[in-house]
Amino acid sequence: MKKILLLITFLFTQVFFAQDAQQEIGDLKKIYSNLEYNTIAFDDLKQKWIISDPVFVREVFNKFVSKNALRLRGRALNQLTLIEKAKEVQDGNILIDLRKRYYDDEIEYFAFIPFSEIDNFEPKLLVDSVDDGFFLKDIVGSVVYGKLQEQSYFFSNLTKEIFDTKAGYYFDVNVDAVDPSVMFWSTTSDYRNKFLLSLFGKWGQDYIFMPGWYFPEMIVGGRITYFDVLSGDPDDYTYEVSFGTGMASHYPYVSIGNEQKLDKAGQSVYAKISGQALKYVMDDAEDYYIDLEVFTTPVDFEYSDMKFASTRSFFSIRNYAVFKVRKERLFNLFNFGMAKAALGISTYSVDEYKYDTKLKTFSDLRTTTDFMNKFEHFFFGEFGVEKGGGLVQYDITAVLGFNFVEGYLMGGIKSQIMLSDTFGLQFRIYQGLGMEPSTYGYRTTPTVVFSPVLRINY
Amino acid sequence: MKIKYVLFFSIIFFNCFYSQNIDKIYKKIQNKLQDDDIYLDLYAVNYYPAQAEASDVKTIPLYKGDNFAFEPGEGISYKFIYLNETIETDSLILVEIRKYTDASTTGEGGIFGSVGEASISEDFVVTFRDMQELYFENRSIYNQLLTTIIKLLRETEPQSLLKLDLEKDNKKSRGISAKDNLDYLNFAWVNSKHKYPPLPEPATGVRSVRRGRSQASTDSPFEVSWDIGKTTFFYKDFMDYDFSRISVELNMQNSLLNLHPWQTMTMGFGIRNLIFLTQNVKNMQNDFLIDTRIIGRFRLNTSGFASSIPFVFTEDPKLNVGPGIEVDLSLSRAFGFPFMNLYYSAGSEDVTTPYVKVNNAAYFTFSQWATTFSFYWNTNESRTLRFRLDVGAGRFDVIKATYGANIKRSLVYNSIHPLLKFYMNFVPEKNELFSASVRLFDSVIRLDFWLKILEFAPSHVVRFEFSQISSPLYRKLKPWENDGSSMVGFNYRFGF
Repeated sequence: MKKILLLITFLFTQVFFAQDAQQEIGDLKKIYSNLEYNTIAFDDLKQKWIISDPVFVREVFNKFVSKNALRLRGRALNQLTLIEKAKEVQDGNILIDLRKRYYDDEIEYFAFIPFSEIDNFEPKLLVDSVDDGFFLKDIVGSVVYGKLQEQSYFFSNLTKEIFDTKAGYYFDVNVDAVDPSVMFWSTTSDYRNKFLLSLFGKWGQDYIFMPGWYFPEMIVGGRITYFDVLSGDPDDYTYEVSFGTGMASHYPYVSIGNEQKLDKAGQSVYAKISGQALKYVMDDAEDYYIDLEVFTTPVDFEYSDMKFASTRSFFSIRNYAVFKVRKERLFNLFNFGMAKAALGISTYSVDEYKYDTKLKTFSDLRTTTDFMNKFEHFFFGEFGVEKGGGLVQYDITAVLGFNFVEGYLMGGIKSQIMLSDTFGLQFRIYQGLGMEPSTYGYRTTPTVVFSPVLRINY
Repeated sequence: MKIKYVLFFSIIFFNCFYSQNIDKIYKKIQNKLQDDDIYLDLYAVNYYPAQAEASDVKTIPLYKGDNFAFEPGEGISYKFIYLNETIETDSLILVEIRKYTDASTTGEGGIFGSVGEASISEDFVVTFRDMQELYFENRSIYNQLLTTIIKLLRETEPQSLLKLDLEKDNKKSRGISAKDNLDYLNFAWVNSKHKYPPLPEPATGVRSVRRGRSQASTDSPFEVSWDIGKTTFFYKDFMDYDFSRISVELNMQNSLLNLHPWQTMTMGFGIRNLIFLTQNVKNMQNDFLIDTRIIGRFRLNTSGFASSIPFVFTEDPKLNVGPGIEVDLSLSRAFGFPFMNLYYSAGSEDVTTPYVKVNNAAYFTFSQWATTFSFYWNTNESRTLRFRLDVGAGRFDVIKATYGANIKRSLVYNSIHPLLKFYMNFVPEKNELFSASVRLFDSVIRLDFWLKILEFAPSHVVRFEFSQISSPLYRKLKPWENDGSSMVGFNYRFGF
């Protein structure tokens, strides 16, 4: 009975002092952790790194040992636990995880972390972390603390950088050889809508499988784009109307093979209308777009308009039209992006000309061919993946077309990859399948087109 | 009896045991309060002896057993240091009391009397531990102090002890682009060889800090820029009007063609007029500005020595640039459009006297035009790195004249080409250090670079300049083109 009473007295005293002390310690810890200016909003952007130099890790660990500063769940280590922890350090399995404060160079987080825990989101630390650089300086000394700050050792930088790719609507300059554009004026007329005025260039036509410089004209013109509600995605417009004219273009490199097969034979005009037409007749059809492009050459060149040095024959694409229905955001491929698909039909007419420098004539060699018989048609489909945001953005689309007049396939890939939506590369490759190139003198296969891309968007 | 002993020793033991832990925390906090002089989010409110006299709290018991009493006297003041409410603390927390003594008013000083300048000493009279012990052991005095501070805060603004300059250190992930003319003006002040006026001083009389310009330099009546390609001159008394500034220019170069000065075999002389459309130079940042250059171009036969000039590294020129008039306009944002640049040059098309021939033929260019939009952006608010991109098109003609019994002329080149020019200025701490630009036109890349190498009072600046024109990319060299050329030189600026 007496022993029980003694035990109860002992325990009671302990609990009494423990509660009182815990209350005081708890209040003090709250004050301690709130003395600094709170920068929690920047926690993921603060400078973070890991020290993996095993010798330096030992040196720092030993400082903790000599200052008796090692704690596990708030309590000092006993000898056995210390030996166990030290063994892990000796085996080289311990790293140091550090983080600096946001506005200056002081260290705000320091922890010994086992190598096996490094890929855990909430790693189990070797001992309690130190959350105050000034306390850390007290433990390791100013010299070692200075070395930790200077990062003058082998370390792995884990500092996160922000890669922000949200669209701006002040100006948008897209510099590339195939699809350049300059958005130079914008306005809002109602609530959060947006009208954009742009100048654009278009070199090539993917849906007749003559991309980039394989098409002999670069279309330049103006475009108006309308958003009924401003979107974070600049391709998520309500409608877009473009008009332009063609300018003669040539291969952007010195030809070492056959001369260019296609050339411009007159003054052309181009028009395109694209938009979410279906959303006005169907519910939930915001992701469906209808595109209609028309290119025609109403005015023929005269002999004096052409500047060839010698007699030559060449082909010319005088007219084409493309009708396409596409669905954006077809389904979510999570980290890989969003799928999209399209179906459509395209048609184009091919003429053949002879430029004779001796006779000084420029003549059409297909005058006997019926106008409609000059046209060839493709059914085409495409499927692609598009990803925005983050550091890398890309749009990769596979295109397949069937020429149902001549019975051959054309297929390939068009792609654009960007870094921070600022620097990137466009690449297209198309190959004929079941097609004899000699039969189609105006076609080159495979066709490869690429261009660097620079985009400045504010 | 045993129970009493156990109770007694338990009290002693656990008191010591838990006291050690609390001591360590106090030591950590005290360390932080003393050493961290930047990040502490604490506030201070002044407290004077007169106020102490009137208050109910005149002495404060300290942790070590002493008492602290507020001292009366001139030159003595106190500050209550406190922590505001935070997420984890739901009330104001007193941290310290500091005493400030102004030695000059207290009569302290050297042996010859008070020292001329005031010297204020700071003492930590009530530490954090004292204050917390007060909180836990002497709550009534603590509460009285708290009430005193709350009353003080109703009358005076507290001072923040946080030493971070948060406004200066605002970080952004994306750069910025000004909506008014600021970026355009920043670029012109740094790069233009004609002077742009500084921003006027604010009406309060406080000297404005215009980027990169000292007040001394803007007071000079003269502005001169000289280099081997262009010389400009401005004199304030005769050339500065309320709504425009006129300067004169003499140059040996062409703005559009891929030719270095002296290769063009022309000399231009004319004026430049900077017009403020609202006739109010004070509103320059928001005004509609037109920068116009009208230059008369004359032929000058430098073909004999253009390739021998030590600072121009090139072959003999092959293209005869015709005489004429050049008009060069830069417009600030009209109707919300981007900044626009227009260049047009035309003149007499006389081919009878070529300065250079290529195989009994001579190539001339008589008219050129170019139009571009300019876009400006900066990496951060301090505008240390400044960028500009010109996007547009240009065109020039080339006429071939063949000399025989008669002169036969034919137009051999007349194409429109895209024109892209990218500029970068590095202006650290508002000091114009260097600039680089790269231009693509007619499949030729042109690189220009300058670096400030000397600056001395009152406003003399010397820059080292370098320019490189490449040979044509991805096409054959045309008969009138050189296979690249380079130029080095210096630009002297005064009054900019």
